[in-house]
Parts: sequence; structure tokens; C-alpha cells
Amino acid sequence: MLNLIINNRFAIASVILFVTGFVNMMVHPNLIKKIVSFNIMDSATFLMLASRGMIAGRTAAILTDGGADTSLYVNPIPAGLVLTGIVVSVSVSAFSLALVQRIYGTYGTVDLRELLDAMKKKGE
Amino acid sequence: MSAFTRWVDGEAAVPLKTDFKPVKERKPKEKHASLGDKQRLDGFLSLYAKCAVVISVLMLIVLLIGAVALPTFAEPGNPTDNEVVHRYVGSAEEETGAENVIAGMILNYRGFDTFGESCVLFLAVCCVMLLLWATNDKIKAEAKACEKEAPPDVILQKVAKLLLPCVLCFGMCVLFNGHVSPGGGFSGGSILGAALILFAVAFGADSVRRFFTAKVFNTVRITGLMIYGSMFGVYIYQGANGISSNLAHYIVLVIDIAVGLVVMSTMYGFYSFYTKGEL
Repeated sequence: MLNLIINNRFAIASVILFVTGFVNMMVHPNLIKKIVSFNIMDSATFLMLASRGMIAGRTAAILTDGGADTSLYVNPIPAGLVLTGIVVSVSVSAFSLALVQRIYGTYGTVDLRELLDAMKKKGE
Repeated sequence: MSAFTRWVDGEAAVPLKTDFKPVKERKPKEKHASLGDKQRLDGFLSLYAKCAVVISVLMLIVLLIGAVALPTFAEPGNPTDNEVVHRYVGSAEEETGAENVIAGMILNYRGFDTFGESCVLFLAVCCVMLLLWATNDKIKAEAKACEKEAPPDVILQKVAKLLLPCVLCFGMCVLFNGHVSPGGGFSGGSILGAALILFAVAFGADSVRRFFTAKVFNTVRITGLMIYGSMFGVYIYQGANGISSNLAHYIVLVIDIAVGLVVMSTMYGFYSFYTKGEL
């Protein structure tokens, strides 16, 4: 059992991070904390992907004088996927933060409970 | 049923239900029950929190079981270490002219994907502009007053003077050598964007506006996307295979620079819109 955990330590760490982010996103009433939790979930996914690409004793996939000997380099595909993921995560965070800024400008709060009350008051 | 068939045959009028109660009758009821509403909302929220925790714990257990059953970390011969990797690493330099396999892969083999990524950045900055562009003169005046209240910091200015050339050189180096060494369009562009942000923080937004106005900003990011689109289009139109390694090398370099331009302007755009609501 311990061996299994040590063998998959990165996967387990990323699972724990993912669930931490998920719980916080569900439970926290603060919108900014929701966005932060979303970013934690993103990071967990990146950790998972990057750790899957690792192969012990090999270097990053930048061909040096060794030439294209495939047994020298780690898997380059997860790195590309993580790059895509980071860009999308940055874009989504920026967009949602801009939305929160507008919400704060209109209702004067970023707390979900107070926001519901404020919206109800405005509707009446 | 018979009414419906008669309606289908065109003999009767459309069977509409017209016995809706007027909305006005319900309204006083709602107001009366607003206290009950609040209690219901409280009950719902506490139930929601409990359900969220239970679902998350279940998810944690399921995911942990999955994670433990994964193949051993970093072992050669894992399922991920398959023929795709060997194909990419083996023929990337020959086919894409990039020694950095990752740059060659994302800009050449997966070029459409990266083009979509650049479009996502473009759209993100468009949305932020749409949401935060201060059309209100009051907001603009507030931002200006804020700038005047806090005069530029002397220490920050001295350090920025020392640091900025280094940061710019490093960013350029990462950007232009992205295909032969670690780096590339995204990282180089971010570093250049960070340099712009440092410049804006240290010397005020007006000094950035001297050379990086809204017009230049839009031109840069649109030009970057267009260069990418046209270069990659030409490359695909040429058949993508059988292009000489030297030409492919230059295509990757130019696309990398285009991506860098897009990322740089996006980074500075985010900073500028969040702080001032304008460029």
C-alpha cells in the first residue's frame, strides 16, 4: 500500500489539490475565492499531466548533440498540453475577474449571499 | 387527443391553454412569505454545503482509487511512452526544423491547436476590454487622481532603470531562441509583457502611452494573429510534408514571434484594463 502511494505520489497530490479546489469552489460564498479555487483545480490538472510525461533518467525534450535518440528524452506531449491549459486558465481567470469587478461596481459586494439579497432588493 | 387531431387536420383553432392566473394575484403572497423564503434559502444553503462536502469526499475516494491504480510514476515503458512520442522526438528536428521538440510540436504538428489558443487570448482580452473599458468620466478621473496621489517611487524607478534592459533582453532571447532552447512564444511574450508592466508601474502609464497607445495595442495583437494565420495557412497549403528543414525552421520562428506579440499585448492589456480601465 505504502509502495503504491509512493509510486503515484504526484497523482495523489494532484487529486488532493483538485478536490481541495473543488470543495472551496462549491462552498465558499466569496466570488474571488471561487476563482482562486478554480485556479487550484487547474494547477492540479497540470501537475497530473506533467507528472505523466516524466520518465526517470531522461532530460527535457530539447535535442542537443545527442541527436534524435528517443531513449534520451521525456515525453513532450504533456508539456504542450499543459501550455494550452495554462493559456486557457489565464484567459478564463481574467474574464471571470473582470466580471467580478463589474459585479462589485454594480452591487458593492462579492459575497454570494449578500449578492442574492442585493439583487432581490434591486428587483423590488 | 381528438382536439389535437382536429387541430392537425385544420378543422379547429390552436388548442391553447388560456386559463393562466394573472401574475398580480400572486405578488402579495410572495411578499408575505419573504421571511419563509429566507428560512428556505438558509436551509437550502446549509443542505447545499453538506451535499457539496459529501460529493467531494466521494469524488476524492474515487479519484484516489484511480490514482493508485495508475502505472508507476516515471518508469520507462509506461503506456504514455508510446510510438507517438518516438515519432515526435525522432523526426521533429528533420520535419519542423526546431531543436526544441515541444516548440516544434505545438507550432507545427499541433499548429491549429496553438492558433486556437492565441484566439482564446485575443478573445479574453476583447472580453476584458468590453467589461472594463471606462466610458464613465468619473472612473477615469478617479484613476487619474489615484495616480497623482501616489507619486512614482524613487527606489522603484532606479531599480527599474537597471532592470528593464535586462528583462527586455532576456525576453527577446527567450522569444527568438524558443525553437532551439527552452522558451518560446508564450514564455517570451509573458516576459516582455512583464517588462511593459514594470515600466508602467515605475514611470506611470503616460510614459507607456507615448509608444504603446490603444491603436498600437490593437495593431500588435491583430497583426500577430494574422501573421500566425497566414504563415500557418501557407504552410498547410504547401502540403505541410516535404518542406525543407531550413524553411520549416523559419516558419516556426516567425510563428513563435507572432505568438509572442499576441501574448505580450494581452498581458499588458490585462494589467492596464484592471488598473485604469483604459489603455
